[in-house]
Amino acid sequence: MKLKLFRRQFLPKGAFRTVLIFLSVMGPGIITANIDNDAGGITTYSVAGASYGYMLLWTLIPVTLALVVVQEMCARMGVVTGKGLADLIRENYGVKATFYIMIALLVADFGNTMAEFSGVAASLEIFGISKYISIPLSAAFVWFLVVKGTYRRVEKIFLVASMFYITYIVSGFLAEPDWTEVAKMTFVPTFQLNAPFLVMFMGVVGTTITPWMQFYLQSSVVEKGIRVEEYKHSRLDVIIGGFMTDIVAFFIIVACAAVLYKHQISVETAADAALALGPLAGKYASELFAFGLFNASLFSASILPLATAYYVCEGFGWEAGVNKKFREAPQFYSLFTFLIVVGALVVLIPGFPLIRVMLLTQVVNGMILPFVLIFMLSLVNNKEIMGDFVNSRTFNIISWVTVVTLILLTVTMLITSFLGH
Amino acid sequence: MFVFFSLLLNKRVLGANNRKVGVVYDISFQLSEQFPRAISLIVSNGSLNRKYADVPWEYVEGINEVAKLTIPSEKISFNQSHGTYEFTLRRDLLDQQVVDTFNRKVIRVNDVHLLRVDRELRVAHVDIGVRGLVRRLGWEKPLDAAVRLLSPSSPYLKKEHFIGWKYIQPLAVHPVKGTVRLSVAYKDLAQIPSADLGEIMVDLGSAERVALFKSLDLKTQARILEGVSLDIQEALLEELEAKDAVRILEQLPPDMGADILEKMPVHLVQQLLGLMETTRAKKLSMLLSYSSESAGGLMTTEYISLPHTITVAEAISHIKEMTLKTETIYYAYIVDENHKLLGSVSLKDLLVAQPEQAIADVMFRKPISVHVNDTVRSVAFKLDKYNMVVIPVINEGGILQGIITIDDILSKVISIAWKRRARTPAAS
Repeated sequence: MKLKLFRRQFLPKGAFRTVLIFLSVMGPGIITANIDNDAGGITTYSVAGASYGYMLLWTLIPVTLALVVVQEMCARMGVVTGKGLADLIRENYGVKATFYIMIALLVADFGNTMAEFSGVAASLEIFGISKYISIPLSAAFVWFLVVKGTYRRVEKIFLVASMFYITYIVSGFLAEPDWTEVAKMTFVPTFQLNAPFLVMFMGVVGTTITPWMQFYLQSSVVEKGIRVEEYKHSRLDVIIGGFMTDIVAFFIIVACAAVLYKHQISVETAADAALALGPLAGKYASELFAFGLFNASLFSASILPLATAYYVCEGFGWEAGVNKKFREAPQFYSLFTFLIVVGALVVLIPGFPLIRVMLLTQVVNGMILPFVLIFMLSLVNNKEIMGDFVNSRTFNIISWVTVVTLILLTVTMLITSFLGH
Repeated sequence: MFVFFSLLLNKRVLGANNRKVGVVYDISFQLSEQFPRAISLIVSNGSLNRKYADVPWEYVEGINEVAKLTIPSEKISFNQSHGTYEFTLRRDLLDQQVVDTFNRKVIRVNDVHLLRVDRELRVAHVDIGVRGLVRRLGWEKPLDAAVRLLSPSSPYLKKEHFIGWKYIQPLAVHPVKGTVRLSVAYKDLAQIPSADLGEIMVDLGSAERVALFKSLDLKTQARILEGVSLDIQEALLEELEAKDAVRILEQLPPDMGADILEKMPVHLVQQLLGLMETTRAKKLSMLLSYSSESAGGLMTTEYISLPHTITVAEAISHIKEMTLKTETIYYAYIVDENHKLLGSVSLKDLLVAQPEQAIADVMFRKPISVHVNDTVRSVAFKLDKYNMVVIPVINEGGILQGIITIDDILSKVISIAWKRRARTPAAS
């Protein structure tokens, strides 16, 4: 007879019990999915809405499905093996593969961190706060939050921050869109065969499914110590997270389409969009939009450098974790601090080619995504690693289709972005 | 002469007739010796449809830029899969997690440093340094040249980070079955303090953690449970059969055992107590009846009590017999026939007294004590006020129930003062 003694077992019986278990394992999926709607994501959705109106809304349905499929595999691997994705790749595919993936992730995440800080700067400038004040303060806030807080407390703060994404839903309603049109465009796919539309389409896909998320999600599932018995609740966490991400994306596109596309105003950044919303949809819509951007940027700026430092150290076998002292984990702290400090400082340099850096980031992300996805699929199907938790046949078909489509899209995007520039 | 395993990998393997057989894929080792000896060379052939052959080490004439065999290439037969080995470097060591028992932490192996003596090959060190990483990536020579050019005295050129094999505990675990593939005992782990062992357990993957735990002896298992956080405690205990859990609980000091039981569902506690020997079960169920925030919940029942009628000499020999079982031997408590607390005596008092003196004349009468329902706070204040390191706990009738030592109080006070456990090898 095996002992069954985990705490969550003697919660009250019935439906309420399920809720309690869910609450105890939730976090990783929802948080990962929300960091996904970072400064870069909001920019992409805003531009998509402003340039193509409701035309891209339908893409969110397949994207959500793909996001959930991919994330679910990571969460499952984390629960079953108790190891991070970087660990598993290192153990099964050796140091070379791990090294080049980590270097590419480091470059991409560094670019993303810059984008997050520029998002913080741009959104607070709408409220009249100079970036020379907001950037140093937010960088210091992020550093202390992570280094001085415990993971569990930080996770709670992040879950609260996830709630603020509701501001986008409110601005979506304030923009007074034509709902019948919205509904039609969501369920009936429309397509244009020209380069700018294709780039926009792939931009939406690429910003939603990124390589670093897989590493972050798996590590945080491991960190939370979720057991195999609780896995189905963890899966729910991932699914809810995926839907939250795309519901927020949906309302951003709707808001920008209803106001900016209608008046033929083109925007280049999320902050532009927030400003442009002001005179047309009212001060509140504009300010809510800007606040949402600030929240998302700061939120992602807190997680990205930490996650990057964490899985890079994991892959190289260096000690990592904020519960360790600097002397015990020097590489971890140096990397983390470097990402925050340099990522924040760069934004303050006048005339820094941020847009070009962002493009490079997107290219690097696109280049590693296929490798990460293929490694994931072969790991998750390895019986030696996953035991009875390998993909089922149906799931394998779904995931291979997803992965192959994603790979084709990213390769096309890479080619177009090289040709375009 | 030393050689790195990564440099041997994929080297050509030639038969006695100088014909190419394949390339070096892996090397299997015999672990029972202090420095494991190579027992066979695993050769692979082909890239898409890769096949493997096992060559016993006595046929390997030498291994350096090429591996030369003493048998002709025709004698070697290839199979689709490689055989079953106890321990091979590529599968079980390279890039895997191992425990460094000297520095007491989990490390990841970048390379393996082998010692070649005549035709024998032995594992000498594992490499966990940056140079090892660079070598694996194939950049060692260009990077060395670049560093030498820029800064010839750079510490990078000489700084190897090796750990001697005798401090390495490999964890070759069959991932699905969760059993340890190694026949060697994890004996070196017994030397590591339980708090550090707890941190090591946290750093491992779940399969390794459970497999390692199961392979340890009862005493070490009990010590690990003492050192880890609640989550890990549960995860480990869950893997055990009830009778094994009982045996571990019997190894732990009763206060620790009660702390673990307290978090379990009631029916399970009943069942476990039922499997235990009666006196231990009684003690545990008594401890469980007190709130964990009271003196009763904090105390241990392992203490020395002496009848009030004996002499000092008898008391000393009594203490000697008890030494192994109790938490502290510096204080003993004198009780009457009904186990009512009469006095206390320190080991020092006994040593300076005349052996034939009656214990009742030496003891400190009416010692300071606390009540089972007293709060942690009042226990802490009393220990501080009277400068005691251990305080007896009594019930309404003045019957001695247990003792509380200063270290039990300290961890409680730390958790209240700094809002955390004194040692949490938990999340980052």
